[in-house]
Amino acid sequence: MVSYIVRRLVQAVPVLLGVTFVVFLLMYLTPGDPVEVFLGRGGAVTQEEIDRIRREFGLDRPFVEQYGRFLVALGRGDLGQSVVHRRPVGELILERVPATVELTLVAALIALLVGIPAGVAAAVRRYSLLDKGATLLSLLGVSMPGFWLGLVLINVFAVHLRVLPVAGRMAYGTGFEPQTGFYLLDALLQGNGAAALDVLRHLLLPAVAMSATMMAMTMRLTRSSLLETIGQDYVRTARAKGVPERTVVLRHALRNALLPVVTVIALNLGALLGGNMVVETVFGWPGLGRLVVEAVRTHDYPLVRGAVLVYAATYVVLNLLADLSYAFLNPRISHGKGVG
Amino acid sequence: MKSTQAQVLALALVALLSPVAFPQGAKTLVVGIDSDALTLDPGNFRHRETETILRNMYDGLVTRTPGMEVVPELAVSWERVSDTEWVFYLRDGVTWHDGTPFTAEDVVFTVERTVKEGRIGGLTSPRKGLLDPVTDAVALDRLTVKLITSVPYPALLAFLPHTLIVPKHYVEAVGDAYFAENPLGTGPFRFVRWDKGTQIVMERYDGYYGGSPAIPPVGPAPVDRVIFRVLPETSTRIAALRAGVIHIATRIPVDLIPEIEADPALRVLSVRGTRSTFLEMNVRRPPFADVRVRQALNYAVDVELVIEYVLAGLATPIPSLMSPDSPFYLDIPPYGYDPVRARELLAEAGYSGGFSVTLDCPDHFKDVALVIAEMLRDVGIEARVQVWEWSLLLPRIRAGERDLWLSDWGNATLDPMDIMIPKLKTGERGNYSGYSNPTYDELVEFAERHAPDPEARLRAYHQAQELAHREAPMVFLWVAQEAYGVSRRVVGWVPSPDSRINLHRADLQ
Amino acid sequence: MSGRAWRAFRRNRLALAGAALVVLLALGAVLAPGVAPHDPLRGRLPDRLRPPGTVTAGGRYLLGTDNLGRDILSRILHGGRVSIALGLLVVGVSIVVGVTLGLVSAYAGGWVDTVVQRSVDVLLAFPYLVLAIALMGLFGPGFMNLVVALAFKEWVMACRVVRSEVLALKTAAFVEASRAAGAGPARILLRHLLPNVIPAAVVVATLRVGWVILMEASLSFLGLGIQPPQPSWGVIIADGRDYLFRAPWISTFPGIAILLFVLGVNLLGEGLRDALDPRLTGVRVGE
Repeated sequence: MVSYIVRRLVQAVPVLLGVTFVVFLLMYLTPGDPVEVFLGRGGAVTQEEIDRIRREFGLDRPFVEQYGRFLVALGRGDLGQSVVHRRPVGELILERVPATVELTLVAALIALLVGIPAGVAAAVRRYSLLDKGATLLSLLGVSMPGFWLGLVLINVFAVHLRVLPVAGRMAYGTGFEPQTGFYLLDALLQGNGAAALDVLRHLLLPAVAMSATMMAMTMRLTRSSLLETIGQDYVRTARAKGVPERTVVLRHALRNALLPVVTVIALNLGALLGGNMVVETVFGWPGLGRLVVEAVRTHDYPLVRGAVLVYAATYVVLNLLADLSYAFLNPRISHGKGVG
Repeated sequence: MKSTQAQVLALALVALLSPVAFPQGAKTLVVGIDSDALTLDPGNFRHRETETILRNMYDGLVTRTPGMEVVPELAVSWERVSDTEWVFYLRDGVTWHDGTPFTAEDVVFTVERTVKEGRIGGLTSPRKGLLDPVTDAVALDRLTVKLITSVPYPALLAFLPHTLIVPKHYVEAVGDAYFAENPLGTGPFRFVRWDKGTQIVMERYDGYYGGSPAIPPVGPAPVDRVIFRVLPETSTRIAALRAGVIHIATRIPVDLIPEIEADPALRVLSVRGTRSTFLEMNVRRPPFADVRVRQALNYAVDVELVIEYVLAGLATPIPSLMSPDSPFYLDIPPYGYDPVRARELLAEAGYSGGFSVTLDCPDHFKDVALVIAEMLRDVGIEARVQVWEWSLLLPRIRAGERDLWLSDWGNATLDPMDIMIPKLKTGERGNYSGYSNPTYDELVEFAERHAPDPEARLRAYHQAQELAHREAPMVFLWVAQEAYGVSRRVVGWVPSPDSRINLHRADLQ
Repeated sequence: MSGRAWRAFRRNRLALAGAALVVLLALGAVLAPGVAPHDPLRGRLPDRLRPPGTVTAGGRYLLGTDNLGRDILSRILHGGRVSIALGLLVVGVSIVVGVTLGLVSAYAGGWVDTVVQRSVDVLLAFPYLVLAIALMGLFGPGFMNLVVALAFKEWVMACRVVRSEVLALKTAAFVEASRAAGAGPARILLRHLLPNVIPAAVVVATLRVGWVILMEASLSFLGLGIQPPQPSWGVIIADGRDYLFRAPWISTFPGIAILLFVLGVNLLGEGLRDALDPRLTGVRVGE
């Protein structure tokens, strides 16, 4: 097992290097200069000043040298300096990660809480109106742009009904002082119930907008996986023994059916993390996605590089975890069959 | 059992959907701003919103009135003792937010940190350019400091408000990295916390010396607490303003002004900005190498109509580069709309059949571009609009690959040297159109380097404006107003043309 | 489509409904120059921000107008031309590239397979939007540039599906027989393997069209996709974002158009999958 993990991690290294190389090359070839954008349109700036900034950030070096320096620094865990923010890239990314992770996890939670029961209901009443309705709804979920759903939700709940906040992570002037960047966690740790509730209210709309696709996916996976399990021997045996239907489904079938669902969801967390930049933009959510979009816009190469590397590493790790869970859980599943 | 569950669920839902009530004691003024600060180090940025925020925690040697007049702030007075030396007499009794007295050493430290290379964490301050001919500062005594420039620098006072003074003792003790996130100034508010991407909180500094005597009232700020809340989406900012969650909202699009004015609790305050807008042409190659074609375009665009329709009337046409608010403004009539004259000029230049061109613009100009393209079509120029990300368009303009584009240039000092030189002097950074005219170059050079005499400087810049007007390397469009949505509870605050939001004198009723 | 598959498809009422949605919206797009009541690019400024159903001297605005007085319905009809064409083109290019590389890499194996699969791994690890944004920066704005930027990663999906299909078929009896009879690699690839992966490719293609259209909308929303004045559905949504409270119809209706079209394509795709190749349950709509 350990050697498998090590081998996989070693295999991931060339992939990550490939990603850094591609992003480096793209940004290098793209016309445009972060220093120009940084200095803006206006004011007195001399060419001498532009050249100096380029020199200080090593942007005047040949491609190979820049990439080499980047790799050497990366070996030390240093992602370089952002040209626009003039601060270490690693620091900037770390500041934004909590907001994005918090939103993603809440979105995933909502997706599971709604998707799994809906999937179970659809599977149990296969071909019923309920099943068809759920199927159609889940298709709707994957067919709409998440940011548009966000706009519609803001319009309904924040503007017309005025029951939820429009944007942001928390109300202002509340006296609540987050420490870790995970606001919900902070509020709970500080025992500040009002703040926790407030943070939750801010999380709700963006999380729902983000979760639509995953919710749909969860529902459909649960349904098909459960249908497959219900057809299997041990479930039939349980039924034949006279175990009540509810228990059969929930205790025996569902437990096994959920394993592939959870695996796929874990894998998709990566995609969710990478795809949330638009939702973050709509809700003014200060996460990594918005930072990256801005960085690409301003040609802040070092920041783009660093962020893409973080995304890619997350993807690789989640993939590995998903594969591991397959490898790890499969024998138990086959073992469970006999016991059921 | 079932019903209890349902009740719990319903209760949870109600709790979730009701606003959370927090105790409101202190008087808090909240500004909705469209971008977070990039850093809180006054020496390490080139970013308008960052300066807007920092202005409330830091003071400069001098500042500007809302009428853009340079007045004393941390300095009481100054004199120019030679062509290249200025002496500033500092205010006594000013303290940093930690109680340490402010002295000439702090000014020397700030100037050196700004103009000497590699002084901020190994990097050079990007604000060096705003102070550039200044090479050194010397403390003559505790409250007197001398600034030395390498060449005569008549525009020094116009630029000086943009250099905020930082505390020597503190920066040296905590280091640049810590300082960038934990600022300490002499301004009306002291730093409380920065939740990145979310908010910056400040509280009144009770030991404040009171600010510039030239801008009454002098004294500590009336509000207890100021929050800059980051709201990048326009619609969100307006919604927050209407909900009363924020009291000042920046960057209101002109189409939405009526909506805000319709709300009895709100009003719109606008001020003419300092950004000149142009339709620039690539003069290096045909068709715009011909001055007649360039003049034709100036006649073909109905600037007044564009302003009326797209900008809701909130802009002032300009005949040349400078804003009417600048003391250097040359008051001559703009070209004016004359499609017949435009067609004549085009015919004279050999384009009686018109020509096709792509009109490039960054996203925020796309509506303007569409309307102007229509106007060009009326005189026979087939203009196709292409919208770009500015960072992608600029290098292509630079390379001389583009022909016609909309752009603007900020002139926060209202001094001609940071617009007339970069925009049109041969080979300068902002000279996107590739314009090159020895007479023009001589005029602006004369004004800057050889004219300590203010009158001669003014005359030279007037001549340069006149020349630019005639040569028309761009269609001179306008200086637009900037609109702020403001709660009627806010008193004692007006927007400033340089867009710095100073809340020192603002109060809430 | 075989007779059996066609009958299976015809019985699937949801798939038929999907096909109807797709045809309807595509027809609106194709006929837009004829049926759109107004010019999609030029508006009447006095008619700006009119709510749906307004009638003025300028005409009737069934779905309202935007901030430049342009008719939203006309813009949606014309926008469909851009969005749908983009979806089809991107997927078309990606399928050709993906199927070719999938076939070759699976059949050839060895270093060819290694190179292709490592490229696939690298692209998969890239966030879709960031890659597309970066490529748009490199190429500059423009319709065809956007097609290339989106297809740059999109081919990976088809490649993976085709590769696994071919790996399964490679050792099948009829392929072995053909090889024993002296058929060269080109003949085996084109005659035996290609026809067998076409159903899978069709299913993947259909299911991915919707995804590509959603990606374009996201890019446009960020200001980096199709550039105005040429409207795509995503552009119209983006145009309306500043007016969300004042004029919600600007963003709402093009969103519904996207929703209906993508829903139609997905229903159609799933119907095709069930009819053609039920084994392909792994092919999903998302990334």
